Amino acid sequence: MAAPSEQFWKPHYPCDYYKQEYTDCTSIGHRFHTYYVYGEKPECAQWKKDYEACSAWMKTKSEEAKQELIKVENRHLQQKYYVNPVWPRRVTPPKDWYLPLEEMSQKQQAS
Amino acid sequence: MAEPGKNHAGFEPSNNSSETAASSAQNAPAEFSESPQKDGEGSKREDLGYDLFHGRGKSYRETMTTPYGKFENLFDSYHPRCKTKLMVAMKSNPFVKLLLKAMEESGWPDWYNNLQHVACSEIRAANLSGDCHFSGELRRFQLKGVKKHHQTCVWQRAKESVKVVRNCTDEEASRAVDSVWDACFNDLAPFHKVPRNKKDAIRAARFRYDYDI
Repeated sequence: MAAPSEQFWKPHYPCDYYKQEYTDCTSIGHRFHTYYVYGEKPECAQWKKDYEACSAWMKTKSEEAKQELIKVENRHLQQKYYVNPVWPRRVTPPKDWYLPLEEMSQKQQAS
Repeated sequence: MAEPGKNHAGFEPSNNSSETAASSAQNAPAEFSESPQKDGEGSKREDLGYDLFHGRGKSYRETMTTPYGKFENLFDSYHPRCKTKLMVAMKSNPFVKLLLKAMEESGWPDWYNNLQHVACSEIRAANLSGDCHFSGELRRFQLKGVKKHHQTCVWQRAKESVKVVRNCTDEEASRAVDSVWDACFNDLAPFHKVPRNKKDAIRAARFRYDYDI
């Protein structure tokens, strides 16, 4: 996916996504669910700030609003790169990836 | 009961902690990793719990869902509706689609023999699948308290399934689950919070992929 030029930058996510997450965060069901899982209240202020940054850019299209929104989006995009330390990442696929599974080859040998 | 991790409502984990933890995980204690060639033959099918999965290794006729397709099914305690529901859910449920897709993309070849990896998978399965939701626990009369019951439920389920699948003792299973608890309970990928219902699952794909599923 080619990166768009700086002139025609547009946000990666529509503002509605942040608003929906905020409304879900402040709902009673989610409050109870967070208490059930973590024993604490949920923290919803961050979603509201994200939504305000997004709607500020949509209204004014100024440079500062754009920079704020880029920071918000980078924070969300960072989640893709979280590595669970239990499984070390591999560099290349296994050398015999194209061979059939053991069971299928055994069945073919048996039949 | 293990110590719970930090609250992740709405935030992602910091990258620094994952780097330092990765180096310590690679020096993980050798007691948890089992070599795949024990006794010269490898692990047997019974040890790995393959028999617990319905329909594995059967012919097509044996897996037919209608009771009229097979004479024995008329007199068995066989529930074809359960199997049909499972098949439909595998194709359409957003939870299933998200988690299977993430598992294909992760790509670790030989993880099944390592007890820690199995424990981590079981923790994540119980955590993210909805096995330990409040309504389910209420229905099964397993609620000993509402606060943080999700974590006790996840811990117990993970321990039981590790014990059954890998055919090891209670202590080994609980030690394995405890050792990977912090990292794995907070690893919510591909969700960014513990999902509560199908709408959460559908919305989770938005911040991770470029399309809706």
